[in-house]
Amino acid sequence: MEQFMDILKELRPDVDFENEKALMDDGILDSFDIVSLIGEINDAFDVEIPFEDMDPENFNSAEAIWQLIQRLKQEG
Amino acid sequence: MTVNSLLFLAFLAGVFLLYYVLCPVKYRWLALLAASVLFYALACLASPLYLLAVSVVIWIAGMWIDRLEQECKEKIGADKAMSAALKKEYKGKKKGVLITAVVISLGILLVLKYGGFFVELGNRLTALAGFTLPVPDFAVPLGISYYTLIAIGYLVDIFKGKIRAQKNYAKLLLFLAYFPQMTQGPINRYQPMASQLYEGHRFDYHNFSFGCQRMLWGFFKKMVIADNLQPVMQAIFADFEQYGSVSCFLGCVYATVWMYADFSGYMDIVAGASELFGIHIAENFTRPFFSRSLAEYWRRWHISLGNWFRDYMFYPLAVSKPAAKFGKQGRKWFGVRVGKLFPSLFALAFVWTCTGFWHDASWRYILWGFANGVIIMGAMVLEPYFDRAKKALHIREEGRAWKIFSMIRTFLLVCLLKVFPGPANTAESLRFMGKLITGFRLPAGWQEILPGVGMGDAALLAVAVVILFVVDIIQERQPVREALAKRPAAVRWVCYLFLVVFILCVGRFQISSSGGFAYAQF
Repeated sequence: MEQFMDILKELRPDVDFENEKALMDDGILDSFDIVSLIGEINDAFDVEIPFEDMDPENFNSAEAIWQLIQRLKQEG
Repeated sequence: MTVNSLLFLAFLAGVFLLYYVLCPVKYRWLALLAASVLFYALACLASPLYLLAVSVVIWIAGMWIDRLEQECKEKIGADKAMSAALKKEYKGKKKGVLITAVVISLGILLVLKYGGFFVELGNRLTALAGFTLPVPDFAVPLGISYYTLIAIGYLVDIFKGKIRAQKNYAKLLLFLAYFPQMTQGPINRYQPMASQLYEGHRFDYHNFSFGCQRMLWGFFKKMVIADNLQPVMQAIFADFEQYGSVSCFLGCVYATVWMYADFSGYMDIVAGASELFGIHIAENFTRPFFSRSLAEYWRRWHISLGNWFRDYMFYPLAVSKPAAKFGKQGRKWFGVRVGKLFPSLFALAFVWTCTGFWHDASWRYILWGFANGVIIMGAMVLEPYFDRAKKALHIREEGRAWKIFSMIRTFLLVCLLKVFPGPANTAESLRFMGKLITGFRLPAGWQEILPGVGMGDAALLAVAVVILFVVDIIQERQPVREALAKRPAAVRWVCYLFLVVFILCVGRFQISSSGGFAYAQF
């Protein structure tokens, strides 16, 4: 989780990822942020986030993104 | 046989009878398969060989990948502790099959469509060493650029576990060669098409009526607008040295309207034909001239190609390891705001080069793709500055005036980009551009505004373009066919008859054996 939070903070140091719950819905992260983030997550955690998972449900909070990573890791 | 010929209407009537009258419901997909094979054979006799080769390769590879997937699941079921290792092992195997099949399918396309271009390019280098190879001039099979992408998409979807492979070869062949999509797309996906194609449909008057209406509208666009504008546009591009820059720019405007009427007209004809059998193919257009940016325009124009590039090229590239590393470097060099754009820019540069190349194996199309990419990427990078400028100038983005301004700006930009594909070759494209910049001169007379068209014909053409524009405005607000269906029968039939009479009086028949469609050449 620590490595994941570091990726988020490096990508957008101005965002309070601990408390924000509507990152995508409120436009805090735009599509470029999301694409960059997915690339870095894929690289760091050896997962492949599919295009279909690029939705607010999975990207509205750091917790939701982390859960997505865990799910994909389990699915292999 | 082309879709704007009487032969096609006769063919369609025959298929209609075969499908609804002669075939039992269960076997109706076979009627579509027979029709597709016949259509393709009539359209281009030499082509079925390549289609057969690609379809067999994709069929075998699809089943192979599917079998590996099932085998992997069975082994994991027997030994859960080995799950991660097994998944990795089988992923590698599946990837091997996928890459082999894609290389073969794409290889056929590359050799036939781009072989001459690459040999010519190689000859320029080897000429220095004193030898050159003969430049091959293959007849590019009809629709190969379309069905190759459809086939690759199908295989990648199996690889990703989104769909199961089709075991019945005949059914897969129908999906790849379904006649309405055959010559110019759309680039359909397996998931929404399979059930529609294979389940037998019973006759439905709503589908029949809407299908006929859409075909009629397509004939109007193609035969009245596109086929009448084509000679005007060609006259300007073929002889552009004789014209001033204003006439040259008018040529670009005509080319833009012509291509829209031609390609979307084709789409209406084939989507309508498919609707007769209760099958709804993917949409390729959502009124692109109402776009407020070039990026939006490309989301509304040739949608199935754009979606294909997004799903199978842009997204995998943008989230790949090299893109992530590129993004990190970008942040280091240019800060967080610009750096975050790097993965997307990396993928876009690749996608736009390929989009240009997909259209034609020539430098002018590569330049055209490059120019589109540069404008779209430039707009992305400069967006915060534009936003600041709009704020300073008190421009309301959602205001009607700004919306209309943005639409006109995008339309003119799209017209301007026709300087690449408009003229006959790359050298002429560059000279044409020079003419636009340096040769300012107002048209000397009517013949420099609409060469070869009399005042009367020009008035009819203008009426047709206005009808197209008005229908598009209505469609932007509500589906036109549904709105028309609510009107009294007399009103509906006046509309249909008006279009029929317009086509018979102003439309052009027997343009060429290929129907003169712009996108058939791609």
